[in-house]
This record gives sequence, C-alpha cells and structure tokens, in this order.
Amino acid sequence: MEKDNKIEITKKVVKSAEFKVLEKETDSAILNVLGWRMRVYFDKSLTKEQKEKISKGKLITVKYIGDLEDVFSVELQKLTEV
Amino acid sequence: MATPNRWAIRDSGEATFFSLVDFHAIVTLPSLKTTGVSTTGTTVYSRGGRGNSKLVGFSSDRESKLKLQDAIFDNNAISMLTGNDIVAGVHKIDIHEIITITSVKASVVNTPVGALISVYKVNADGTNGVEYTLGNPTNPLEFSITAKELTFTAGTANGTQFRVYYYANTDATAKTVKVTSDMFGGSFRVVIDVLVVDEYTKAAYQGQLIVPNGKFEDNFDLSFAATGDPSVLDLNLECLKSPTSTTMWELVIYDDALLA
Repeated sequence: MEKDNKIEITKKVVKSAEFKVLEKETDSAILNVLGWRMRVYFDKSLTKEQKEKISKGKLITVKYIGDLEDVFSVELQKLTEV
Repeated sequence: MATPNRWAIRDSGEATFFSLVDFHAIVTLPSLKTTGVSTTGTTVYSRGGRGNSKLVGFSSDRESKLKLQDAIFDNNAISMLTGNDIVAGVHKIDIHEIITITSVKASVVNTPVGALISVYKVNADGTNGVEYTLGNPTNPLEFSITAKELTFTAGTANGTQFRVYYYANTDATAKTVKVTSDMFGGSFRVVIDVLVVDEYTKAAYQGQLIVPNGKFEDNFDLSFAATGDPSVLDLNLECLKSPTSTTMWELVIYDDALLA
C-alpha cells in the first residue's frame, strides 16, 4: 500500500491559567489542577526572589498546552515568571 | 406449675426495641453479653433535736438506667444510638494500596473516582518516599493513568513499589451509619426476655423486663482495639416516666407453658 506523503502539522496552543500551590519543592511546585496534583518545574531563569514568591496556598499563573476539559491532555510548561 | 416466688437468674437476655410512635418492632438483639438495670433515688432527711439526728426521710428523684452490652454490632442498634437512619447505597470511600511495577506499569485494584489523591514511591523501610504527580512519564517524578493502569518513567525498575491513595465507590449494598450534629438517640419501648430458675423446683421460667420509655444516652463509645477482648457495643438508656403511668420498669415472671 502506498504511503500518503501528506505532512500533518499539529498546532500546539499555549494557554495560561491560575492554579493553587499545594506543595513547594526545591525546583518545582505541586499544583491543584482540577483536583489532580501536577508538578510544575521552575525554569533555570527563575530568580531566587521569584521562587520565594511561590508558597503553599498561593495562586500562580502557569502556561500549559492541552485542554483543561481533559486533564490528561494538560502539560504544564516550565515556570519562567511569577 | 405455679410461677416461682424465689428464683435465680444467669442470663443476659434478648432485648427487643419497639417504636413509641407507631409501636412496630425495630430490632431484637440476641447476642447480649450483659444486661443491667440500676435504680436510684434521693432521700433528704429532716434533722433536729439534740444530736441533730435524722427524723424523717423524704424520697424523690427516682431514676432507672438500663445498660446493655452486645457482643455483636447491629446496624439498627447503632442507628437508634445515633438517631440517624441507616442509608444503603453507593458510597465513596478512601482506598490506599501498594502497587508493584512491571514494565513501568502497574494497576490499582479498584476503579478510581476522580483524581488520585496521592502517589508515593515506597521507601525500603515501607514509608512513603518521593511523591509522583500526574503528568508525562518522560519526566522523572510523573505518571500517566488510563483507567486503572498507571505508567511511570521509563527507567523505573520492575518491582518498584508505589503507594496509591484514591477514592473508589462501594457497591449498592454498602450501609452507612453516621453521627450528625443535629440528631440524637431516640426513645423506645424495650423488652428484655430472660430465663429464670425456680429455687424450689429448679424448673425454668420466663422473665420479661419491660421498660415502657427508654431514652438512649447521648454519650457512647465505639472502640476498636487490636488487643484484648473483641470490641462490644454498649447501649445505655435512661428510663423515662410515661405520661400515663408511674412505671419506670417492670419485671414479669411467668410460665410460658401456661400462656393463654
């Protein structure tokens, strides 16, 4: 069978939303994403002062790809700013 | 045979509870360990004269308490104690189980309801170690899940254990009894059937302790212990006065062969 030579281009849209911090770790934080515990990693560019702003119970804005209506499709992006 | 005048008793009896509202029988407890009714009153004395001795006693404050101890926990009895009805049906319960990895995957036994609560790698000493979160298994501390199956990072060795906390639903036969802040133990008519033995003939007769109005005390304990005797269900009731009678409780001894 001949292969289809069409190239499929998938467009990944980066969105952002606020999530509550459940735990703060050294290089990451665990967030409440629709009841699930999901980890967002801190980007290397994040300064010490910015990291200090992240604390348990605080809402932080995180970029993600996927759809919040399907939590399993959500991929949190590294945190570059707070 | 005539009903005995002197008798002995060595029986905890069977207690039956009846509704005071529509008089229907609610439950019979055939597994009592002990049954007791204690009766108290207060006497106040007039004192006077040389030596201030007691002259006249005034009795009042008649009280009776019925104490039952059941070897078996009965849902209906707990329901009477708590004042809440037993609810049968599906209930969300907490589950925690240890799963063992084979080819970076492992499944939980039951179907999780909603989000998993927590997933921890189990340390060598059995304690919870580092937490894993939902995400992409290409990341070292993340897992993905499809139905009951969790997938972990590619490097996760076979035999690695994780402790998974999640909710699961019971089947429809689950029964729930609860204590609520607004409901308390109710009042019931209580009848306790006991066996008594005639001192003279050594023949057995029936006895019936009847409490027309028994109100469950609002303090009760449920103890779950890993040592000692099995836990028991204590049922303590205060005998109340009926509006139409002064009887707090009565004991009827009779010959069941001569019942009309």
